[in-house]
Amino acid sequence: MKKIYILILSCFILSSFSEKSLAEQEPKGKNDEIEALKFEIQQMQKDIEEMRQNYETERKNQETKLEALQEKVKDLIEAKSIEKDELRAEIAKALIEEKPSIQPSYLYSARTGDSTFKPEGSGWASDSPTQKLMDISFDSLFTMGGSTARESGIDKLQGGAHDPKKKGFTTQNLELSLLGAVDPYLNAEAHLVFQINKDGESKLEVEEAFLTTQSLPHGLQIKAGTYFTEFGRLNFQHPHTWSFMDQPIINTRMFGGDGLRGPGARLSWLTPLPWYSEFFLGAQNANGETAFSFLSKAGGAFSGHTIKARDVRSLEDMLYSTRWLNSFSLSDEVALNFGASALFGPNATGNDNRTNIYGTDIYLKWKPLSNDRGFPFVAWQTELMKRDYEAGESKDSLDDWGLYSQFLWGFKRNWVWGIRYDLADGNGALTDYLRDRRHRVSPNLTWYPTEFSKVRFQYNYDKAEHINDSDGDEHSVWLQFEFMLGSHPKHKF
Amino acid sequence: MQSVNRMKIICITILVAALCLNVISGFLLAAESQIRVVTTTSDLESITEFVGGDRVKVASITTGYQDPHFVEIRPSYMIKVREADLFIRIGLELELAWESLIIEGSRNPKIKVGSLGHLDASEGIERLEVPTKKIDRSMGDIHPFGNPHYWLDPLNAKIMANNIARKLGEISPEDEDYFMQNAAQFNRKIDEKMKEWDQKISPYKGNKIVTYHKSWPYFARRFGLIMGEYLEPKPGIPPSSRHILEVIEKMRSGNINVILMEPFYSDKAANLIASKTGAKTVKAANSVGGMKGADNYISLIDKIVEGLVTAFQSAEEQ
Repeated sequence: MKKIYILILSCFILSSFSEKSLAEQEPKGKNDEIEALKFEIQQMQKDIEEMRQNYETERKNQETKLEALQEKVKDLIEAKSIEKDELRAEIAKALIEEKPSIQPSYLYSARTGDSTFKPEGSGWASDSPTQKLMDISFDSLFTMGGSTARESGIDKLQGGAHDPKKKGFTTQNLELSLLGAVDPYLNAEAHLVFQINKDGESKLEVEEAFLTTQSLPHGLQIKAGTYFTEFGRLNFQHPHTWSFMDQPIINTRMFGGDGLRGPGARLSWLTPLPWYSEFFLGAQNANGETAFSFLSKAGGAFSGHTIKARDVRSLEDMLYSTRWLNSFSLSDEVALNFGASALFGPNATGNDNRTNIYGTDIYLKWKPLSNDRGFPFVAWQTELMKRDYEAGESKDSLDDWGLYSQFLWGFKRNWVWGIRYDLADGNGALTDYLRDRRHRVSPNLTWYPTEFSKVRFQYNYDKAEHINDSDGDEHSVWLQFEFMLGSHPKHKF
Repeated sequence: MQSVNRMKIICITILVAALCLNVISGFLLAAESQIRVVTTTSDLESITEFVGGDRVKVASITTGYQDPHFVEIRPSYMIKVREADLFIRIGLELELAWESLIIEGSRNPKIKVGSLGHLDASEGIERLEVPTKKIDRSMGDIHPFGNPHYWLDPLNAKIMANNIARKLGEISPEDEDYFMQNAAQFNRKIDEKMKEWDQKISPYKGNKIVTYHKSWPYFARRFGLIMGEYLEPKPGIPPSSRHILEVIEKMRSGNINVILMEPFYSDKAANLIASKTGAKTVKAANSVGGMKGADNYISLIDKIVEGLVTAFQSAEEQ
């Protein structure tokens, strides 16, 4: 392009020059003028031709140069890819040497065990897009062990519905969990629990099935369905995530063997405060076995008071829960959670009787930033609870309180020492094994071969007023096993 | 009915407090003009700082001292993410165990996976060790999308910078040119440094090294080193005594004399092997901030190269 411009420009200059010379030669004859003009035009044509040729050769030169360059680049690329191939082969070789002894056979599950949809057959490459339907996991908890107590006594000592009730073997909890995204706005979870009770009968419990909203503004979130009430720290955790093989005494007394849960809805709000501060406000049905301190199951008894059938007559017959959870980073390695919870609901031992439960919990954890797969760590967790229960038509006030405090030390990779102290007490009549004064000390040692399995040894020393022998104490030892198939559970803090 | 009243008082208090707080925080946030970015690792943070300059405010969830596979999901991380405009992850399932809990826990719909405010920095990276067969957990921690430690190849850092610049440009179109220029400048810087790093390592090209975890294949490929053995018998499985013996034997027969490992792993096995074979152990962080002097992406690679070269030299002198 440039060349053509120069050409035009030079033509223009030449022509203007010739005009000038024409003007100068005016006095001479006209023929001479024409001759001169012709000559000049010829000259000009010659010049133009010459320039064109120059331009043409220049262009050709550059073209050949360009071709050579392209050739060079091509060679370079080829050389590089050969080098790459060599490298690939080397890496592949190195990989073959590392091949594990056990070869996978038929499972689709990857490390995460997602039940992702992949086309059948060998054509599947992990690059090809897959649709993640949901995470599936199946967790099994078993215990074996024995106690100085008779089997009827073990039932009273181990109050959790998934605790061992029998000497020998116990299938504690077989939990099928399904979770995933419903659509861009909702996530959902379901936890179905299979259990074989001490009489050998299989049972199925719908433990939880709920949705949570994912895109509400202002830090709000709604949970709805049937779910564990967010009270304290342990109530809404599933047994396989507990650090001890059984349920703390105070949880059994306040919430029954299965924990407090039921159909309902709750709103939570993550405040814009500079630390983590979250409020929960929820309403659930107050009836059923899993609302033990509230309407519970008609026909049963609560500390000698008959539980009547009771309709829901107004909003006050629902169970209301609130919780305030705060979390502080004390340093990069130490975090502190502090929570306060309260429950307000009716109970059916009298006409307008009410139950209030208050609790406070604290969780302190140290884990160095530079850790070997989560180890070492130290964690201390304590929950304190108090219940006011109006019992019978005379509205006797039954006051119960209790706490557990547990300390865990992950002293080396995959190994954890733990010790827990339980204390629970109630006022008034002390023959009831759910209200007497009790202590328990439980040291344990857990080995996690991987995050998907564990072996735990636990010793329980129980001292309680309801135990009839001379010392009023019992000793028990339990060995617990867990294995988990499928998706890795994500640990909440 | 005392308890009913108490219940009402608690609810009303919470609602009033909520209203006040929301108004105040709204005012405070409106005053900021920078794009708020949260990254999962410190390497992403460093590259984002190069690209974003003074028009972004970057924070990383993890520090260089941490194993990015295993991150405690502390609520304070959710607070970090709560007001973010952009969340950047390494991807390839590196953050699988904790990313979604932090994003969901933050209640910030802007940065959900798949939305404008979420970036997977691995877009366009040539992945290594992508399994071609079905895998399961008996093989240890295998990443089904390939080895996720790609940021240790400086040429991949260029791609990451371009990805970040493009995404920042989408979020703030008026600053797009600025981000693109910064990314181009970062790319030039890497190209310059690459010559220097290459030159330093070139005498040891083709040398085999032993690493603890399979976290160095991208680095090794770029600098012509060969991965000999791993201290972990399978990814994520701690070294067993039988495996350590095998490694010692292979190191002797294969003339391997450098062990490269991250400081967050236990160095017991490495020390044992070093004492038996006379090998040199290099403790090099694989993330920015994980060791002294590695306070941005370029100085991180500087430090790794320096550590390796020193080890190779002293192993040769023996």
